[in-house]
Amino acid sequence: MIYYNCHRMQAMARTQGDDEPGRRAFGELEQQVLSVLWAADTPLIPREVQEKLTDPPAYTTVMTILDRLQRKGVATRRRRGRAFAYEAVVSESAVAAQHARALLANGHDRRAVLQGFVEVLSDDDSHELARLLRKAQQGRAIERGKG
Amino acid sequence: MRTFVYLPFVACVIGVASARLVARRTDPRVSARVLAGSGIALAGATSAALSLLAFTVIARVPLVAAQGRWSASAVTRKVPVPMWVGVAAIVCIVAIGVHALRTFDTYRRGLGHAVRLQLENGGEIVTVPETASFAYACRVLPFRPGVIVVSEGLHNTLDADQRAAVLAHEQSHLAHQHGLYELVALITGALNPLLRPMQRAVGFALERWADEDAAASLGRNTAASALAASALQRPHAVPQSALAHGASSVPARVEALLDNPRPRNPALIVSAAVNATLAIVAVLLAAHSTELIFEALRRSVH
Repeated sequence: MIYYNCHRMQAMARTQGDDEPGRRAFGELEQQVLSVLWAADTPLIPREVQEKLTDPPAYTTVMTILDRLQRKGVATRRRRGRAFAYEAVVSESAVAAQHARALLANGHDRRAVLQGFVEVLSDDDSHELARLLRKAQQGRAIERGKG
Repeated sequence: MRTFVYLPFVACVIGVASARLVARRTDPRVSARVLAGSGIALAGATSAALSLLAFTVIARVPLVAAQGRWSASAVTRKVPVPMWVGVAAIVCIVAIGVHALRTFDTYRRGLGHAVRLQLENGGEIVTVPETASFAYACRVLPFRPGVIVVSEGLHNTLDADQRAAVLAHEQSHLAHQHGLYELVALITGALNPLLRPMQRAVGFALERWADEDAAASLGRNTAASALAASALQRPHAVPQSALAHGASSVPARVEALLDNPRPRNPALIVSAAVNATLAIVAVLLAAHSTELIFEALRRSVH
């Protein structure tokens, strides 16, 4: 717990300390915004993006980032009422996909290889996971009921 | 030297035996660091101990003895390491060397793709047209933004909140430089194949770390369901690979998200750190006493 708090405080210090967020912090934020757009079912206006971010930055920062993403071509926008709604562009880059696949094939990303992607579940594991999934879904339903 | 030189191997066995426990029973943010750190320390200590043992045989080669100005027969009499132990150490070093070259060749082959992916798509989300539901993070250049790779299947298997949880998980990997921990673990396993379980334990702790971060932003149930749903969807879509390993870690991770929010076992952490420190101290003492022995041999010749 202490560890965690330390980390959060460091992260806060990093973002608060700079008026102009550092290059790295900005890049991270950009990817977070892109993730929000990518995960969403529908195009989002800046206010909705801001709500979905953890440690939300200022509204104007979100606007700036969305604008940059759109200019870079990784997001598109269309008018919704008085604001623009943004949507992630599914990258069709064959080159990038090829590198990404080669990484899996070569086992460079051991995390993906050993723990996730190609790991084949035994029958016992599958049954256990199905049970845990039901439990998690029930938990989500209860959370939604409360919210 | 008689005992100290063997202690790193004992510490290595203890480290491996407790690695799984440390990874599963402690806060992953702490255990990932401790496991990666103690793993590389143990790997270094056992490598140094093997080198010392090998040296006791090499020192008996007449050419080496002449160079070192000691007598080969005196080494046989004074050094408390049987010949066969030293020979076994040399065999181990050669075998480890060959194996390590292969490991790094595989790594290097992937590295080119990883670097190009990061240079060309840094900070982006790259989609691969696969029906299986999976995602991974790639950041081999620590000072540039990383890349998140997601499959198209992820979009169809998971709902919006679950997708957000998966991306939060991958962002945690990128933000906390988990790629570097993995590299350290890879080197650990390459230097000492006995420490492979330690390498896997680091991998597990890193996954748990990212899971906890995803749970913090999207909720434990959502993070757990995203993980379980993706894993359950996979076996039908992905052919079995030679790299797939036995027991799956996914059920344990889902279970930890649902039942076991933040385990803390300071005793386990401390003992893992002490164990690795003792291994380092032991090998340093062994090296020192070896130096003394050979110093004495040199003097006795004059």
